[in-house]
Order: sequence, then structure tokens, then C-alpha cells
Amino acid sequence: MHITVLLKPVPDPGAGRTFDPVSKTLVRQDRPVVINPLDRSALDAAVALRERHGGRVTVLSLAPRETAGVLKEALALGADEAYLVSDRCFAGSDTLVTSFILSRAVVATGPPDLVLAGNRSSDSGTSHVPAQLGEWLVWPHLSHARVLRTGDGDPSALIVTTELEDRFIHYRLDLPAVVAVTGRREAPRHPTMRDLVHARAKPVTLLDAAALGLTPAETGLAASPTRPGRLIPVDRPAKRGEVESGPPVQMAALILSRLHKLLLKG
Amino acid sequence: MSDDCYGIMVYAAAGGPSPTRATLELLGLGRTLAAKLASVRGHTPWVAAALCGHGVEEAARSLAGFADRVHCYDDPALAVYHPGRWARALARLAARYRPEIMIFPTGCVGQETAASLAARLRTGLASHAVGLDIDDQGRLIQLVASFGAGVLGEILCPEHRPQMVTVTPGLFSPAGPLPVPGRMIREEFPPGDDLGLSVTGVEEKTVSPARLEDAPLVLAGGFGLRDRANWQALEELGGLLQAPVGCTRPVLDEGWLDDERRMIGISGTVVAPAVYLGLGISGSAHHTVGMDRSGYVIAVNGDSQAPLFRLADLAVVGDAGDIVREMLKILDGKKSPD
Repeated sequence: MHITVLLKPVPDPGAGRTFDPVSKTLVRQDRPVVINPLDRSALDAAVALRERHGGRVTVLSLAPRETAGVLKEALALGADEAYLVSDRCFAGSDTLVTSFILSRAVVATGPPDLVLAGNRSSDSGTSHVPAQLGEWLVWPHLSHARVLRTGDGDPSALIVTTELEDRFIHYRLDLPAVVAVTGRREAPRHPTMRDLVHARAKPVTLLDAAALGLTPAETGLAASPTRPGRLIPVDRPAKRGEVESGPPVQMAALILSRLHKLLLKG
Repeated sequence: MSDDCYGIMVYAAAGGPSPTRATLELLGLGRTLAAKLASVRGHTPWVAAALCGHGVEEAARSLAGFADRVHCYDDPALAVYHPGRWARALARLAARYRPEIMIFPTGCVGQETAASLAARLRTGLASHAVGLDIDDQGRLIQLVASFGAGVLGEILCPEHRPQMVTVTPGLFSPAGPLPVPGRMIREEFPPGDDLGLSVTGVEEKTVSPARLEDAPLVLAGGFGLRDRANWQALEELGGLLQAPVGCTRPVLDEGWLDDERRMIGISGTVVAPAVYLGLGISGSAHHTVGMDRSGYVIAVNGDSQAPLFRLADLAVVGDAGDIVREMLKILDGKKSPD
């Protein structure tokens, strides 16, 4: 089974939020780029499927060249081959054009039996791209996938359970298909030193517009239906409420008595 | 540019025989936009609702009290949500009625359907809008929260139609009933290729946690809780106070909680409880847009400069994790006999 995983480099959600243990306040720092957490779940799921059924895992990232490091990390985490889809003319692509470029890249590097991605990214989080990629490819697609496994005795099908607000739905999909996963895996793999050394030897192949047979007019801001407009600052006046500080036990009692007063006085 | 596109279509998420508040909010928004378009063009475009499901005709009828037209797909093939069929049904409406604007609610089905449909129609989609407006050329302005705090960004879709957007319910006033109810139109679900996707079963969730939207007291935790153990202490506190516990995005990213629906903010749930208690939340715009209409705000944070304090009626400067644990101790003491 050939599985392609879409990886988006995002600012490290954990960085910039480190705590100083003494002052117990936030320490601001530069935010390095990491694999979007849910894409990481998708990669782990792909590697697990390969371990059960054989095949290979390709990782694909549409991103600026400086962020190729996340693809190296993905190779260390078990991906077999990595492609960076990058070109200056891709800048400003909205989700429709992003998913179009990705559809070209998915076909050019396969086409695979299955595309896996995270359900949303931790930075912009529109969650459009997996569904839109499925539409461009004219493959069946599902978002919000919690559980996936190959079809019982049928290697050309996938059994997927999605989670909506109030229910779980079970689906059967014919491959090839696009599936976006939600939820974190309990025990994410961590690369060993050996994995990292091996990964260093593997190449990250660059795919630019020409390699995908795309013209600048088909990509980037030029081709995108949506346009960013003005930025509007929203500045709310501060409420200037009561400010308290003191030992935790005293603050805890203050909050509880306040809750009591607000909610129970009837 | 399709100059012949005209009118506003709202996707009504399923939910019982009478319209949900979310649907009414979207219809209210649609009518506001229609009035603004009328002041640019001199005539008022229609506002319609679209509904997909099986056994939804009664819901469609009651919805007609709030919209000029209700397009109702009532078909056994739509008994359970199927992304391909939903996109097909709505693509047919877009082709047939040529709306200039299509509005979807955020949420699993709305978000996925809007994305699929926008790709199918090769048009633009903005997500999680917190405001919509019409410019002097009659184009839709979509306001979305940008990455930075305290800034909203405009998104336009100048040339492609329909202009598509998902909107976070909870931020807008619901539409009232129309003086003359609209028409309900039975639509025929178009046959087509399901591309090998089929539904094999459904499980309703049996235990759903108290809904954040409905509770008088909402607790919320953020990265300032520092670790999973403190997050779990907060969940325990929520149990004792019988209050649902929401979170900010870092809590999900850290993996302390694996339930996106409990995220309070623009791309999650919008809450407006009588009392909101935020623990270890700094107060990014993404979160505060989702809670700033709460009645009374208590904020606890170690950083006295935390932006959430600007919204607080009671600002407690101190370690959120320590304070949660002390609150648990006090409540445990009350519970056990002396």
C-alpha cells in the first residue's frame, strides 16, 4: 500500500509558551517550525498501516524552502521518501489553489492508494484542504476520522469511523481516497539516534511549479478566488475590574465564595 | 464574474423539528446582508435556507417562517451524513438558483460540506468569519481573525460566485419570524456517483458532556496550567462544581485533552455564560471572541499583564494550577464529614 501524508510546517505550538519555574510566567522565545500536530497523527497512522500491510509512505509538504527540516523529521519518524512542493509563485495561494497544487503533487509522486492528512492545522485551522484535495482528485474523501483500518479481507477498501458533534459514523471507502484524521495517538513514535542518522542520508526532493507542469498564472495569489483585504484592529476598552493576589489557598477561597455569591444567591 | 448570481443561501444544519438557534442566527445575518445589498442596488435579494436529510419536511416547514424560500432535500439516501451526497445536493442548488452568497455554520458537517462545495464550484471560501458586511460595490466582506491578537482581517472574493463563508454561531442575533412565511420547495436529490463511499453504521453518542453553550458557569483552562496533572485537576473541579470545562488551543496541542469541540474560540465553541472562570489563559483574540459576552469574568493567571485580565471583573494574579488544587482541597473538605 502506498500512502502519501500531507505535512504542514507550523510554528511550534509549545514554544513561546515555556514557563519560568521560578516566576511561573511565560517566557517568550523564537518559535521554531514543527509538523502540525494532527499531521503528525496522520504520519503515525500511515507508518502503522505500512507495518501491517507493507508498502511505502511518502510525505509531501507545500511550504517555503526554509521549512524542509520538518520533512527530515518525518523521514526519521518512518517516512520512506519526502517531497517539498515549493515555488516562489505559490505564495499567496488560498486553500482552493493550495489543494489544486497538492493534487498535482500527489499524482506526480504516485498516485498513491491513500492520502492522509491532519483534520486541521494548528495555525490557520480552516480544515478545507483535505476535502478540497479529494474534490480535485475526484476521489472519495472523509474528514474527522477517528479510526481507520483496511477493509476486512479486501485490500482495496478502507473502513473509517468519523466523529461528529453528536455521533460516530462508520464508512467504507474504495481506494484511492483522501482521509483527514483527528485526535492524537496515545504513544507517538520518537525517532532514535539511528533513525535521525538514516534520515539524514535520505534526500528531500524539491518539486517546483515547472516540475508539476504548472504555470505561475495557475498558482499563488493570481489564481486564488479569495483576496485578503484590510486589517482591522480590534481594541476593546479594559474593564478595570477588581485585582487580587495572595497565597493560593486564599485566592481559591475568594474565587469559590465569589462563585457561590454569583450563582447561588438566586 | 457571474453577474446573474443573485440572492443569499444559508445551509441549515439538521437538528429537530424547529429551527436551531444557529440556523436562525445565519438567517438573521443573511437578512442583514440582503438589506445592505438593497441599499447598494435598490432591490432586495432573496434569502433562502437549504436543508438535507430524511424525515426533515416538518423542519423545513417551520423554517419557512424565517426565510423567503426553503429548499428541502428529504430522501432516504440522506438519512446519514455522507460528504459526497451533501456536496452533490448543494452543488445542484448552486447551479439551479445561482446564489451570490452561500453561508454555512462552522461545525463538522458545515465546514466539510462548504470546503467540498467550494472546490466543486471552483470558488473561494473563508472560514470561521466573526462578521460579514457588504462593500459599496455590493461585494461580501468577510471578517476573520488573523493570526495576531487584536486584529481582524477582511477577505473578499471579488470575481468568483458564489462567495462562500462559514460563520461561527453564537455571535449573532437570531432572525425573527417573517410577516409572511416563505415557500417550502421539495428538491429532488440528484442521482450520481458516490465514488465508492458508503455509510455502514451510525452510533449516537450516549454520554455527551454538559454543553458549554448552555451552562450558567463555564470553566476554561489554558497552557498556564503547565501540565496534564493540573488540567486533570481542573476537570475534577468542573465535576465538583457541575460546570463544563472548555479549553484553549494549546491544551489540545499539548494533548492534555483530545476533544476539539471543547475548545472555546472562533474555530471552536462560542460561550456566553453568566459566569466564566478562566484558569491559566492568557487571552488571545481567538479565545476572547468566543467568551467576551460572558456575564461575569474571573481570570486567574501568573502573568499580571495577561490580556484576559482586560476583560475580567475579578482578576486573580497567581499560579492557576496551585489555585485549582487549593479549590479542590476546600471543596473536598466540605464534602467529607468533620
